[in-house]
Amino acid sequence: MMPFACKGLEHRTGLPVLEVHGVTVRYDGVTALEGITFSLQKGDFVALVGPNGAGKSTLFKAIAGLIKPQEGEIKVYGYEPGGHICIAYIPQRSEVDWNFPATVADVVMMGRIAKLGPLLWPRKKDWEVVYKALKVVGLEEMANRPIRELSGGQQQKAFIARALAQEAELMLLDEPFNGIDAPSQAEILQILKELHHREVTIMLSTHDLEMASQHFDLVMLLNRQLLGFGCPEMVFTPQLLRQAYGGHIQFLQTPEGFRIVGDTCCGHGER
Amino acid sequence: MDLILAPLAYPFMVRALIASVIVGIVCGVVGSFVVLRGMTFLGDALAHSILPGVAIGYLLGRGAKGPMFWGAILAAILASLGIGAISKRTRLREDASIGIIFAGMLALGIAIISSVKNYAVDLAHILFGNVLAVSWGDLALIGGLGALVILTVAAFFKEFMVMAFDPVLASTLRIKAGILNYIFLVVISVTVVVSLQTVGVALAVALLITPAATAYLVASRLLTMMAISAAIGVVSGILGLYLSYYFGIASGASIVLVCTAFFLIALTLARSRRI
Repeated sequence: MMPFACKGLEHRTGLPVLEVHGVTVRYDGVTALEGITFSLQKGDFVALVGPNGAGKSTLFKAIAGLIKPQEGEIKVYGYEPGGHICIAYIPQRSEVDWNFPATVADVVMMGRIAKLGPLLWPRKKDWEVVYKALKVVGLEEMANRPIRELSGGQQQKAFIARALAQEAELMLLDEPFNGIDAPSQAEILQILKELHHREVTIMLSTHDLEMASQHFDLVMLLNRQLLGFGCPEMVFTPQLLRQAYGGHIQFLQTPEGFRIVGDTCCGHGER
Repeated sequence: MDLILAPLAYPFMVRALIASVIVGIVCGVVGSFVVLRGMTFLGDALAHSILPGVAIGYLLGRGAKGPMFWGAILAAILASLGIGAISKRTRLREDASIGIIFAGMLALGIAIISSVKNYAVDLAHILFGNVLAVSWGDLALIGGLGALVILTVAAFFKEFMVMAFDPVLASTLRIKAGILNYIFLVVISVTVVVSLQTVGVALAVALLITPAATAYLVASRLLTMMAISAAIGVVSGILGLYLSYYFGIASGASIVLVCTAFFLIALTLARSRRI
């Protein structure tokens, strides 16, 4: 669906960065996503929310070309995702072995591999890109530290730097705030906003509806089907939220809008 | 000083030392990836799977080493491709397909060797290695194959590294993981065959795993880990040979025991550093 028209949000023209059309994904006959259709313009800043098992990670993996939908098609800049190296999928931190013998700079350099091509070792220019990326996320001091010494927030920043080194134009962040303390969350959000101003298209999944509504132009509400996509006040309506979360969510209607009191989700490890 | 120099008077000792150095380097480098990717069991299985190749080469070449060598490489590559194919085409987990191929090939090898008269002695040499019997021709072969392995790892270093650290990133970067995995399996196979003559089928996995695991405890970069691992492999080879010479222990066993000792020392140091 196209985003609901929102006042104050200028309509961008031009070819969409991402077009998702009628995408359905099933795992062993269980439907994870059904008939998802939406498109993103260059520089969109989107929070993807939905209960556990809603298919958030699945949607990211399909967009990144890691899994192939049974139905529908996904186009990134007009082409199928399988050929692109401009998409960065930043997985949940738990999916990577943080004891791997590598420095922060080494990990960020991994993002450059596709640009380098086989047989070649990184050149001076590539290291410059790496250090620039580390500077953007504020980890330049940590460049030569082993990754096992990083805190959760720093790990997430290193991943964002890696996506920058990859020169990604579309970043998909899977639960980047899971298990990260509040100050680091704020810093990461600040970095992402900066990238947003540089016209990087960013989509991130989160359980935090309040953060989504406060900091993002666009929010997407998912529970296997796409229930709403647009500016927060249009999407986070009691009716749509109830549709997404069933009875597991409580919110207060206030004169300024509504406040989400809590949802009973928030485990980890959905696929 | 004499203790060090005396064995060098024997040409077979010199050749054995050179072989140990080559094997130490190659195993140290390749073993680092094997440890990081958790492929120890596969390495061990490959080492055992080469037995039928060795046996057929032994029969065809009437005991000459060349055919045994090439038979071993062929068997190892067939086994690694077979394991890959089974776990890809069936719902079996990889360790099960490794186990099936490994046991089947080992049995086939024993069956072939047992059809020969005095097989016990030959089998012992294949199982436990005989580094003191390395010829100049063997050395050339080991050196050539070892160089090939190192060059391959250098060529695909960053791809292998990403595949070990973050397979998801590898596929979003459109790295050809399928082909590279097969290349890596062949690299392990050749490495196992190269190390065969020093430590034998039964202990080949030790040279692949133990130095790399030791280096893993102390290194914080992959290249450092490889360098430390190779150094431990080389030093263990040399020390092991001297121990074998002076105490009359089987050479393969003494080399592996030195590796194990290094690991225990590193473990103790790493522990005490953390506390």
